[in-house]
Amino acid sequence: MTNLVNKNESPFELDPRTKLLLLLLVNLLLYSYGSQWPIYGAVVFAAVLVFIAGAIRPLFAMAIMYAILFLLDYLVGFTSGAIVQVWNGLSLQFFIFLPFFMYSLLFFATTSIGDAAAAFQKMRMPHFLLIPLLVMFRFFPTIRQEFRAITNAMRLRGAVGQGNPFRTIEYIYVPLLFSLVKTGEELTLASLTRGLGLHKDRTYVNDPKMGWFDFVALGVMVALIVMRRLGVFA
Amino acid sequence: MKIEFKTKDLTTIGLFSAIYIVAYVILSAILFTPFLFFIMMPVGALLMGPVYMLFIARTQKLGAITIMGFLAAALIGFLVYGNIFIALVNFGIALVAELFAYLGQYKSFKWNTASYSVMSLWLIGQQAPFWLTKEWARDLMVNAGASIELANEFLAIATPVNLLIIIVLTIICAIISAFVANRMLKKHFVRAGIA
Repeated sequence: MTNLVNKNESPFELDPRTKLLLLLLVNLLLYSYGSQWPIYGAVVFAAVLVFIAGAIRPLFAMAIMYAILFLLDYLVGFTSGAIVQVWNGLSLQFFIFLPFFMYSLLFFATTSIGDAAAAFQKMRMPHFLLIPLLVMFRFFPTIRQEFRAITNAMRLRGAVGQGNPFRTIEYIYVPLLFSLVKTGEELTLASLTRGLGLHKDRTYVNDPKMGWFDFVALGVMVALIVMRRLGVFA
Repeated sequence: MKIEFKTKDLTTIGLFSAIYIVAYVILSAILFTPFLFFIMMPVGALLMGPVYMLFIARTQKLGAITIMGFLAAALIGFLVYGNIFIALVNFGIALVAELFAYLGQYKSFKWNTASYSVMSLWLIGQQAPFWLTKEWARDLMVNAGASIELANEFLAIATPVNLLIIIVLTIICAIISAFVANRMLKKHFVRAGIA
C-alpha cells in the first residue's frame, strides 16, 4: 500500500478504455475481408502488449495450449476421412477466436476491477449498468471456484458420475445456486456498508488517462485493419 | 411509471447475468460444431430455467430482464460475435421477454414461462446469418479461417424447416425447464427463504 496514488507510473500501462477499444477493433479486423497476415500480426501484437503489462503466466499457459493445438492440427493433416472432419469441427472455434482470446486476455488479466470501474465511470456509464457489470466481473471467478468445490464435495459423497444424470445435475445445480445467491447477499451487504448505494460518483485510487502509448497501440491496430482491407502484402 | 433500483437489485442482476453469460459461453465453446451449433438453443433452454425463474423471483422489478439482456447482448453478441446486428437482435428478444414477464407482474407462472420461452430464443441472433444471408455467413466463416467444406456443412443444416423445428423444440424445452424450475424453487428455495 505504499505506492497508493502513483500506480500508473509506467508509460507502457494501457488505459482500460484503450483495451476495450482494442477488443472492438479486433472484431472489426476479424470480420472484415482481405489478406490473412494482419490477423497473425494482431495476435503477436496482443502477446507483446500482455507481456509488457506483466501477465506472463497466463500468456505462457496460452502459448503452451496453442502449441499443442497446432501440433495436433499438423498431425491430423497426415490422416484422412472422419478424423479430419471431426477435428476441423472441434478446433474451429480455437483458431477463429484466437485473436479475440488474446485481446480479452489483455483486458481481463491485466486490468484490476477498480481500474475498469474508474474507466467506465469516466465513460459516463449509468449507475444501473455499472453496478451489475462490476458485480458480474466479481462473480466470474467465484462461479468457477464454487462449481469446483461443489463438484468435489458431491463426488466425495458418490452423488456425481453414477446413476441418474438428472439427479447429478440437481445435486450440483441447487447447491451452486444456493451458495451463489448467499455470496451475492453478503457482497451486497459488504458493498452497502462501503457506500455503494449512495448513487454518487465514486472516487478511485487510479485516475485512468490516455497516454502516448495508448495512441500507439490503437494506431497499430487501425493500421492492421487498413492493411487487411486494402490487401497489402496479400 | 417510475423505475427505481435498489443496490440490492442491481447486485442481484449482476450475479444472475454472470451465471447466464458463463453458462452460454461454456455452451458455445463446447457446441461450436456444425450440427451441435443449432442444438445450442434447446440445450440452453433446458438448462437455464431454474436460474431465470429464481432471477425473476428475486428481483420482481421492471427493467431487470432488460438490463440482463443488455449485458448479455453487449458481452456475447457484440464482444464475442463482434456484430452490432446480432447484439440488437439479442437485446430486442430480452425486451419482449421483459414485456411478457411484466404482463404477469413477475408473479404469474404462466407469463413467466412465456417470458422464459422468448428469452431462450435469444441466440437466434447468432444463428440468423446462417438462415438469412447464407453467402455472407459463408464468406465470414471462410474469411475467418474455416474450410469451405465446414462452412457448407453449417449451411446445409440451415433450412427453413429446420429453423422451425429448432424454434418449436426450444420452446418445448423452455416450458419443461420452467416446470422443473417451479418444482425446484418450491422444493428447495422457497423453503430456505431465498426465492
